[in-house]
This record gives sequence, structure tokens and C-alpha cells, in this order.
Amino acid sequence: MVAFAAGLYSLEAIKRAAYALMARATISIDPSDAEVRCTIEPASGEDVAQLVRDFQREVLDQDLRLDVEAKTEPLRNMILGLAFSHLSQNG
Amino acid sequence: MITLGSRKIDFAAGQEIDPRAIVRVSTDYHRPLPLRAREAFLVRGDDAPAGFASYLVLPNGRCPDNVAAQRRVHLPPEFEYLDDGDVVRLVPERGEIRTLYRRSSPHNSFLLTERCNNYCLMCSQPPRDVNDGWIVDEILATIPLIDPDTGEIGFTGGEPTLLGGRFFELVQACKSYLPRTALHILTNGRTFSDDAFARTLGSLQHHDLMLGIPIYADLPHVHDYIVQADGAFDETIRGILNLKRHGVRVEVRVVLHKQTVTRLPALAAFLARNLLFVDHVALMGLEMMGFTRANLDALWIDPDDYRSELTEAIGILDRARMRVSLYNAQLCLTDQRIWRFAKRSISDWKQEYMPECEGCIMKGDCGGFFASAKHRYSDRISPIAA
Amino acid sequence: MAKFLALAEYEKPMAAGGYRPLPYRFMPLSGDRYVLTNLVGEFVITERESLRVFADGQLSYQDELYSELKSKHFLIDGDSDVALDLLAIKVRTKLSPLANFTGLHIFVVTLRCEHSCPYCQVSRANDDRREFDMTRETALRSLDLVFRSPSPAIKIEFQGGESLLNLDLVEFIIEEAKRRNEHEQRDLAFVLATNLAVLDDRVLALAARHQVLISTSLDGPADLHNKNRPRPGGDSHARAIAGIHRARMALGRDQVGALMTTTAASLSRVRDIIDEYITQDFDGIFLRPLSPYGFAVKTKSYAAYNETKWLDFYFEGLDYIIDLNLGGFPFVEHYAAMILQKMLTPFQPGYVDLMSPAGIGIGAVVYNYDGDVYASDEARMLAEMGDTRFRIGNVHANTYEEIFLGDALLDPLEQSFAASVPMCSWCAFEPWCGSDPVFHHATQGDFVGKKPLSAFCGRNMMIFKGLLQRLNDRPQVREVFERWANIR
Repeated sequence: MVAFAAGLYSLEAIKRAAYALMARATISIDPSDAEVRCTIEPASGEDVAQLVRDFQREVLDQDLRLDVEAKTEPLRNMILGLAFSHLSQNG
Repeated sequence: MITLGSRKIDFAAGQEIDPRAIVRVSTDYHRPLPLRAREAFLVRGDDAPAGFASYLVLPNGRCPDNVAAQRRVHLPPEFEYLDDGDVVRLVPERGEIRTLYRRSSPHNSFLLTERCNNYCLMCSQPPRDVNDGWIVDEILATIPLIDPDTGEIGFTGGEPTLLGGRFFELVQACKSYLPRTALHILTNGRTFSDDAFARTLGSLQHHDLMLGIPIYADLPHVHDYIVQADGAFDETIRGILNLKRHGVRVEVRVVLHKQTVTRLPALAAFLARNLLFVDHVALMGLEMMGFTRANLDALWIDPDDYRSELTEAIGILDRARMRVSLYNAQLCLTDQRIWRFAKRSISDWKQEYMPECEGCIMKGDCGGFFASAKHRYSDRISPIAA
Repeated sequence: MAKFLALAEYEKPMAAGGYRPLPYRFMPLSGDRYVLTNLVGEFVITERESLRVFADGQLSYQDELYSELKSKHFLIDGDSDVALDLLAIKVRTKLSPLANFTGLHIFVVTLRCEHSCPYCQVSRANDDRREFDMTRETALRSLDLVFRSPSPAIKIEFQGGESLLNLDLVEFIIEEAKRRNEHEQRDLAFVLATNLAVLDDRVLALAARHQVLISTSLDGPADLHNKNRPRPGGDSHARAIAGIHRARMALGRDQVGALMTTTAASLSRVRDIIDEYITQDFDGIFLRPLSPYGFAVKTKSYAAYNETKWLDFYFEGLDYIIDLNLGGFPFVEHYAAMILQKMLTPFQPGYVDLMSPAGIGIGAVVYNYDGDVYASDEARMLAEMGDTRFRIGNVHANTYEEIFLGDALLDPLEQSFAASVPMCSWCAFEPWCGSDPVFHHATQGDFVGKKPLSAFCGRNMMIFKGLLQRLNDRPQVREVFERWANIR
């Protein structure tokens, strides 16, 4: 079981991390007011301690990814817009 | 090194010469009379046919007494190189002769203006903010006199595109009068960030045009520093994109000095990733002319000290299948694996070798030195032995 | 003379204003090393802490990493914004194979074959009946569709079965296509896939007349090849080698290519296989993944077990080939070369398995002997195993619009847009990867697949990491990779 203080990481980041590790463990997520509890059922042969470390790091990375995605979204749309306007301009 | 111009010519015997004449030089005794009236005859021997607008008399030449006594100009020995088909400007009032075009040279280029919107640290032709529009008229008068079998001519500046519409007039003149001659134009490319300007040049459909445009760094502020113009990098890049979009061929030019060599591999990677579609990349050794001497501390680096960066950069460009050339480089300071990119390109009137080159077996293949290099060159020059 | 300004003057906009990150993604490599990729697959490798500092907006413009990130278009600042224009152009270049739509058209001219390879799902060995031959009418209707494709370059590839067993039809299609192309003016090319066992002068004359490329099978040295590819007489290898020499002599060395199929028996033999390709004077080899078709594809255990073994096979082969290059012998591994082209150049290879959205129907389309149209060669194999999900129509029953704009093609295409798939949507390798809906349908029952369970995903991830590690650790290897990336 791993618990994160509520609001520390986005729930989306925790969900993504659980998805990414699906081959190694089944992770169920139970958010409450105070914390997000994650129950980890390792696949056979998985080292639980390592799995927990990897999961925590994955949550951290996913949280950063969500942050980066949000920050770069407007420029992303602008670049794609430029790319496709050129496309129509030049056939 | 040859002398292209002099203002110490005695026109005492040339009082009938036009006050400002651009004339084709002839050595042809059977030149049709109508053409003689607007050409100069080059007197090398002891005879000269009648009827030419002027007579350029070399030291060993002798004009017969009965030929045009008031149309003679006596030239000093440094003009012995003049020959049939060359074009010169004569300005008696200033005692001036200037060679504008030499038929035998592969390096004929025309300075279109001295004005420039960059102010490069290493500019070999420091810009002057002068009203020099007369130059265009002179070149427009010269172009029809150039041998149409000339391989290539060049336009330089200053920044040629600052001429605006007259720039296109000059390109059109080359297209019309020199249909077999390549045209190479040195420009900083910034004006072409205006898409309409690039489109107009493209629409002229010159048969063999190449624009040489400098990019000195992958980082915009470093390029802007080197050309001393904020925002120049963005304009130059946009200019290149516009030119290529309108079908104009572009050569990227990089001068090698202390401010450009550190990030040279990064610049090469940038070019390979972003401007792979340019037609040529020219890497060029530093010329000790103009501003370079004033900024020598900021610019000078011994080529021996940027060997590895140069080799790596050329490798990156070559593996990306870009066409690459290395100019003004001395082979003894260059890794042998990139010798095949080295070109002898220094104009024949500028190229020299140093005393240290004595006995080098590669001299015939080496780019050698600008004549100006006597001011500063590597102390690690050594002859390559067999 | 005016005064010159110092470099610091030109750094002021950076010093003053901070920076804006451009879209990027990141993935851990090993330990604390992370790779960052931008929209078009340019990449920077750095430590996790530096990544965090960069993401937090705290990276100093004087940091070397700042220069690298700016040069490779991971950020813009007050100094310059031309990066946006350049990125837009690079995005467009990467998407250009899509704009051309279908370029490769595969004609299955017969299912008959004189080989009886166990890994083959489609041939009808030793079958003399003509019911498995494509008819002229089917060929003509297929050509109608070929020339409806907007692609300026059209490649027609003949497959079987053994394509030479229906040579009359091959000749008919080539001549008909060329006749139509007099009006169409496409860049038209032909490829003949054959095991070369029944090669004769008539084939060579035809190939020479129309500049037909020959693509043959070479699985490795004689014992392995013959084991993989049984035929009466057990002489498949000898016939292939003799055929390669004959075809090269008649058509030119570079007009003959070879492909290997990786089987369980290949996995311990990678050096032998590569040596065989060197012996036969090929410039490179395509170390292909194990094909899931024909195996018990729907059991997960197949994938996991075999993929690990295949990756060992692949990297052993790759390192052997890298060493050959470092020793001065140029030789290419083509799977790596395609991925490296995505990593190191502005271009995008047109290889079906590495396209996103999926290359099916876009990279290639297959016209089966009976007129059925499939979205890829794998889709046809899947159909032969009884799963016709990727049959997108029939040349006799359907129009171009029904086939190429119908749900059978567009559904998996739409779902396979990697940018919108869980895991892919945040994966830093996505700009270098592809999506393979046929594979995922075959192995997991849906077009997209759960990537953490996908052998396709796992295998490519390992390859991306393996290539990155190799090019990052040794500059000489990077040079080799740059060469491979620029074979076009």
C-alpha cells in the first residue's frame, strides 16, 4: 500500500502511473479527502519494494509531465496551426 | 596580388577621352570600326590601329605617331595583366583607371553598394552610409560589355538588397545579357524575410543564381552579436526559408573565428536538422581585412586550435548529405580526412603563400593565404613532406 | 568607426525575460539519465535534476544545457522566436509521407508456391490449380484503384505465393500500368518479390526491360535457410544464391535486395546470418522482428518469452554490425537505420510498421489474388488465419471511396493516432515510433493495445533506449548512426 497526501500530486498522474505499471502490478486507487491510497498487487516474481519505488517515481514523473503538457499546450497548438496553414498555402 | 585600380595615371596625352568612360579593352587589329569608337585598344607592341576611343599604352608599347595623340593613356607595369575582352573604367579628371572585369579571371565580382544593415565584427569591406547609387548605373553599363561565355560573376556589398528595386534590375540585366553565366550574390538575407521581396527575386527566374548568406551560430544572440544587429538571425533564417520556398538557391556561409568555432558542431547539427534543403555550405577562413584587424583579439584563433571542431562539423554536414566546401584553409592546419572538402577559392589577385610553405608538396592543392594574412597567420604553418 | 557592442548586450533579452518551454516529453533511460524529445523527435539527454530545473523555469541562460535546449528547439526566449517557424516546417516534413497517401501497392498474383515454408500463412504449396491465381480482370480493377491514389510516386510490388508462377500476369500488369502511366505521369516503379528458385531468362529480360527491382528471401546460411524454407530437393539456399548472382549480372548489383524472416531457429544465429549477407555482397541487413502470424498469437506468453530472446538476438547483431563499421567496413542494419532517420534527420521513413497514425492503407495496400483488398501485408496474413477484420473491400464489389474512406480502414486509423493513445500520448519515444493496429488486434483484440502489455511497444522501447545509449556513449558510433540515418 502506498499513500500520497491529497493535493500533492494530481489524481491523473497517479492513474497514469498505475496504467504504465500494469504489466508488473495491478494497482487500485482509492482517493479520500486526506490522501490517495494505492493498493499494489504485484505480478508474480515482482519485488514489492522495488515496485513501490518505481511507482512513486512514476507518479512524480507523471505529475511533472502533466505540468509540462499544460504549460506547453498553447505553443503546441500554435506550431501545429502554423504547420497546417503552410500545408494549405503550398498544396 | 594584382593591382585592380590606380589613381596615379597621367592623362596628359588623353585629353580627348570621355570624362567618365567604361570601355571594353581590345587587342584586335581588325575590330570593326563602329566598335572601335567605344572601346580601348591595348598597346603592347609597336603598332596600333586607328579609330579607338582610347589607347592604353603599356610600358613596352608604342603608338605610331599618327594615331590618336590626344587619346593615349600610359599605364604602369602592374597593368600588364590587362587583355582582350576586359572592361575598365577611365576617369581622367581623377587620374583613375580601374579594372571592372577581367575575362580570364574566374573571380569577377561587383560591389553593388557600400551600405549595409549588418556591422560584422570581421567585415572585410566596412560599410559606409553613403549615397552610392551611381554604382548601379556603372554596373548596368558594364554588364553588356562582359563576355557572355564568362562562367560566373559575383555581386557583393555592403548589402546588395538595400538597393531595393534596382537590385532586381541588376539581376534581370545579368539574366538578359549573360544567359550562360552563373550569378553569385553575397547578401545577409535579412531583406528576404519580406516574402514579397523573395518572391520577386524568384519570379525573375534567373537561370543560374546562388545567394551566399551567412549564419554564424545556432544560437540567435551569438549570430546577432557577430553581425552586431539585434534580430538579424531571425530575419536571415526567415529570409532563407522564403527564398527556398520561391525556388532560389541558397548557400550558407560561415566565417571561422573565435566566436564561431566553439559551437561549430552545434551549428552544423542545426543546419542539418533545420536547413537541410540549402544548396551548399561554405566554411571560410578569416580574412585579415577591414574590421577584423580592429577586433583581432575577439576574433583570432589559430586554425590549429579548431581542427577538431572543424572536422566534426564538416562530418556532420557531409553525413547529412549536404554539399560542403572549406575555403581559405591551409592544409597543414587541417585534418587530412577533410582535405577533400578544401577548395582553392581565394581570388587570384589575393592569394599568396608564406615563407614557411617552401618545399610543401601540397602547395598546388592548398588554399594558401589572403595577401592580408601577413598581418596575422598561424605560427604552426609547416611544409607537408612527401 | 562606430563602437562594437559586447556579447553581453545581446544576451540582455535572455537575462531579462526568462523562457517559454516548447512542447516536449521525457522518459527515464537508466539511473538518473532522462531523454527529452520535442515535437519532431529532436532529443536532449540530461540528468533528472536538470530536467526538473528546466521544467520549473529556473534554468539559467548561461547553462550549457540552456544553449542545447534552445538550439534544438525545446525553448524560446525574448531573444528569438524563429524556432516556431522552423518547428512548423519540421512538423510538416515529418507528416509528408501521410500527405502522399498510398504509395506502395502489393499485388498478390498467385498463392501457388513450390516452397512449403512453415512460417508462411498464405501460400498453397505444390498446388497446380489456377483458382489461386489473380485474373486479368481482377488486376485491371486493382490498377483502377492504384491510379486513384493521389501519391506522385507509385510502387507496385508483386508477391505470392511465388510470384514467378504467374509471370504472364506480372507482365500484363507492368505493361498495363506503364500504358496508363503515359497519361498519369507518376513516378512508377516495380518490385518483384520472388524466392528466385524458378528464375529464368524470360523473367530477367522482363525485369531488365522495365527496371524491376528483385526482392528475394535469404534467411541465413544454407542449413538455416533450408530448414526455414523447405522445397522439393532441399536446395532453396543454393537456388536463391544462384538466382541472386544471375539477377545481379543481368540487372545490376543494386537491383537485387534480400529480406530475412526471423524464426525461433534464427535466434542463436545472428552472426551467421549477418556473415551470410556479407558473403553474398549485400550492403546491409534488416534484422526483422519475429512475426506473430502463424504462432499462437493470442497467448501473452508467446510475446514476452520470444521478445526477450529476439531483443538479445537483435542487439548481438547490431553490436556486431557496429563493430564492422568501426573497423572501416560499411554495413547497415536497416531497422535501426529507419529509427535513426526519425531521430537524427527531418525526414520520416515510409515503413508501414513505424508510422503513426498507422501506416495501414497509407503506407501500403494489398490486392489479393481474389480481389480482396487489405490494409497491409500483415492484414492479409491475419485474414488467411481466419480473421478478416482488416479486409477493407473487394475490387469487384466496392468503389475506391468505399474501400479507402470506409470504417474498416478509418476506424483503426483513427484509434491508432499515437498522440491520443494512453501511454503513447505521454511517451517521449512517440515521435520515433509507430502504431501497428494489425499487430495489436492480433495479439490483444483491439487496434490500440494496452501498451504496457504490448510486445510491439516493449520491443521498440528497448531498441530506442539501446540506440540512444550507443550513440550517446561513443562519438564514433554516433557517426556510424548518422550515416545510416541518411540513407534515402
